[in-house]
Amino acid sequence: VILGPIAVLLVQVSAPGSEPHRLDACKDEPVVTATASDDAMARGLVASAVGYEELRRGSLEASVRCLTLAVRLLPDVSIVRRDLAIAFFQQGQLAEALTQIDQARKLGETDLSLDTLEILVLGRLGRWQEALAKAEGSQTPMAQRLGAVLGGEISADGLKRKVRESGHDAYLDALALSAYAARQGQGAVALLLIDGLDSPDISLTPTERASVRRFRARIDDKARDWVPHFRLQSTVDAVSNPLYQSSTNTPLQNTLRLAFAGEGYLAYRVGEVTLSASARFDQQLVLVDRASFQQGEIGAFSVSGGLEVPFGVYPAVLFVGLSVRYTDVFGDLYRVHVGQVVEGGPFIRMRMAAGWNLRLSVLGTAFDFSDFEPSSEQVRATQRDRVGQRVGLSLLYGDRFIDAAIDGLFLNDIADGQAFDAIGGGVAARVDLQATTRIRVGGGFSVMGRQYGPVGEQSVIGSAATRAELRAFVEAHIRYRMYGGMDVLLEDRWIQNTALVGHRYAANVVSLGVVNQW
Amino acid sequence: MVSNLSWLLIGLLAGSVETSRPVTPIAVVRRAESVEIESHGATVPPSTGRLLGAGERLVTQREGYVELYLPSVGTVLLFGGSRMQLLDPAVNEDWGRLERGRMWITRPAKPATETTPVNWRVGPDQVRLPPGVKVSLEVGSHSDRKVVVSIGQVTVRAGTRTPIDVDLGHVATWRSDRNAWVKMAGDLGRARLGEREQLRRQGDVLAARRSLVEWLDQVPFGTQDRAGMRPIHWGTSDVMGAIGGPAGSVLEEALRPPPFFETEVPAKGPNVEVEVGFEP
Repeated sequence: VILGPIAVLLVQVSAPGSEPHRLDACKDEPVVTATASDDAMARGLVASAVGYEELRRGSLEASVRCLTLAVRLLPDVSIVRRDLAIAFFQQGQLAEALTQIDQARKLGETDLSLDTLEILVLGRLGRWQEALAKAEGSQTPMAQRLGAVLGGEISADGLKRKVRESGHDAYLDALALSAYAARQGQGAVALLLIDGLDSPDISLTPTERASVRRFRARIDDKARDWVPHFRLQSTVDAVSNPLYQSSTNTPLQNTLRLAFAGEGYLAYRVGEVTLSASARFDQQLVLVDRASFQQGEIGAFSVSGGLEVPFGVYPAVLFVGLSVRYTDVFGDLYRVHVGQVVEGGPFIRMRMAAGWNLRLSVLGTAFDFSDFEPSSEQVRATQRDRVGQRVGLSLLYGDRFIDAAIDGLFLNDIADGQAFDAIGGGVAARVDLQATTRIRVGGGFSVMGRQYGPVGEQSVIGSAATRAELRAFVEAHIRYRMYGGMDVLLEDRWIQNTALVGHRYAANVVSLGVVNQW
Repeated sequence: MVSNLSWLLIGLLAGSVETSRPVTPIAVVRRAESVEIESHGATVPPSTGRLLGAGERLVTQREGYVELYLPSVGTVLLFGGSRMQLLDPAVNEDWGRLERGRMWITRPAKPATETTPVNWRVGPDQVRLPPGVKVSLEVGSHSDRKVVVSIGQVTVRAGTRTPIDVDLGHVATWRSDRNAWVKMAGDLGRARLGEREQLRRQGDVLAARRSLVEWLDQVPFGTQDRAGMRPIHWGTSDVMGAIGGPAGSVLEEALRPPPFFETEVPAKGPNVEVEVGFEP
């Protein structure tokens, strides 16, 4: 009763707001009163408020002292634990910071800065993937900036929307999006986004300005608008029915062959527009009973080209593009010309959510078969040369671990011979999964139904003028990473074409080999 | 007596020189800018750590801002040009009243002191705040009132109207002189304005900006280009699948048995021979 007023007098003598005066509230003294719990609450509240103020002023030691006291007096107050977590983070006591974040969450704290704090702590600990996952689920502008810097697609999209809503701290948004673009290999976009950010007009600290300049120099030095990839594959194939003969007329024939495939891919980015080209060659060598199967010993090359143009603010959601592929196929070490195919057309791609894309393609296709075809002077119903149309709708998903697609395809072919006129459609699905750091497994299937014909006069012979076929395809593979970009590959591909007796066929190949990718 | 003196001492240690203290503090000032407290007929500027009790009124100037913490409620922000009063919860289960302007309340899912229910007055009307809500309250100059919910659900009681529940992302507006509610959906952006203002006022207490800039040094370039070896052209053979890629697809189409063999294809037309004779 007596000490209280004395203390009041002492406090009033000291200058209000001065350091000793403020921090006296954080002295860890036992509470000895008739209502100890109420007093503990009051002292805890004051200590928490002072600790928060000290934190904002950058007095970390005082802040930790006050907030530690406040946590002890108010163990169930979530916001005090949040404040203490911030203070620990600023002091570099990262494990303690994570503990307090966890406690604050358990106590029901929903303050948005808690997410940002956790991202920062995880990042400081080098746990980047956890930091990215946390950022991708957060709504605060700063968490989204950090997420974009870490390559988060959701964060970059969220940031884009915020940039459009307001211009607040727009230069930080631009900086984060620039980092995102650099991660995507879009150096030109990255440079464009930070253009002028290191100028004196922008309110950056000298340290921040130096970092921005360093980042710009790194983009100039390392970011490439050319993105080349190469792949070489060499396998031994155990093949059933390499010539796709009717399984009812001929017993299934098997052979062994060597198969080589090489592919080069190049993307060139002009701003946000992506131009791409690729070339591929295939060569097979039959090892067993070559005389029987040499005609199907593929030697082929194909080239592809495409461009994709984004629409809207970076990072765009809608893309429009065009792609085309030409394939020329030979057999028997180029002594036989099997045929050539051109296929191409426009597409629209829409980014639906992080990793998800929907793609609609409209394609024209032309097949020109050569040495296995009757001569053009002969009029035959089984001539296979054709032109056709395709409409494809694909739902694509990709992240660090999974690459997957579901496709639907409509097709219509007009052939030189009536037997190969076709209309049909099908569905397909495939998935490729990073099972462990070294192992990728995947597989897929497709089912395609086609109605061929009509041959003859349909009005006279009715349903006999057309025939339906159902083609199924199943594939499974496993790749084991040996070292660098080299994998061991084990793969199986199986085709079953269900048709009338004499027309049906099946084929299968089991491949074992190596794939090297750069 | 001892307890009251302890409150006095604690409040003064925190920086207040006011000698007329509330008997039962229910809130503490965490941050205050351009704000005054009307307490027992006197007006004083608050400082960080000042304890507040029932009956005390806070008035913020145009650019003012005050952040309070109430163990039974959570965090309460009062924005510029606003006025609110703390109430005695023992009377009507009301912890405060917004008299003018705009405020924001964040109630943790597990409040430090579980007091159910918690109500806040918006003018004469009442908003019930369950745990885990985030809500913005407004009292306009023409007796119009507004509740915007960004997390959870609150219940609003106003006069003789039937109470209504306002859900996440919804806005309820009403006027004291009209007997109707207006409830609209889809204003999450506005609902989160309070939160954004809090973050802005809080400043970069996390030093997140420094980390953001530091992290730039570790950004790798183009390594996440997932286009990689994915085909540029996604065509028929890629969807249908083939042995040996696009080339294998061409070989299959060149060699496979045709759907009809040549001998199975009937000639066109009715194939009826008609002998025609001519009379001389």
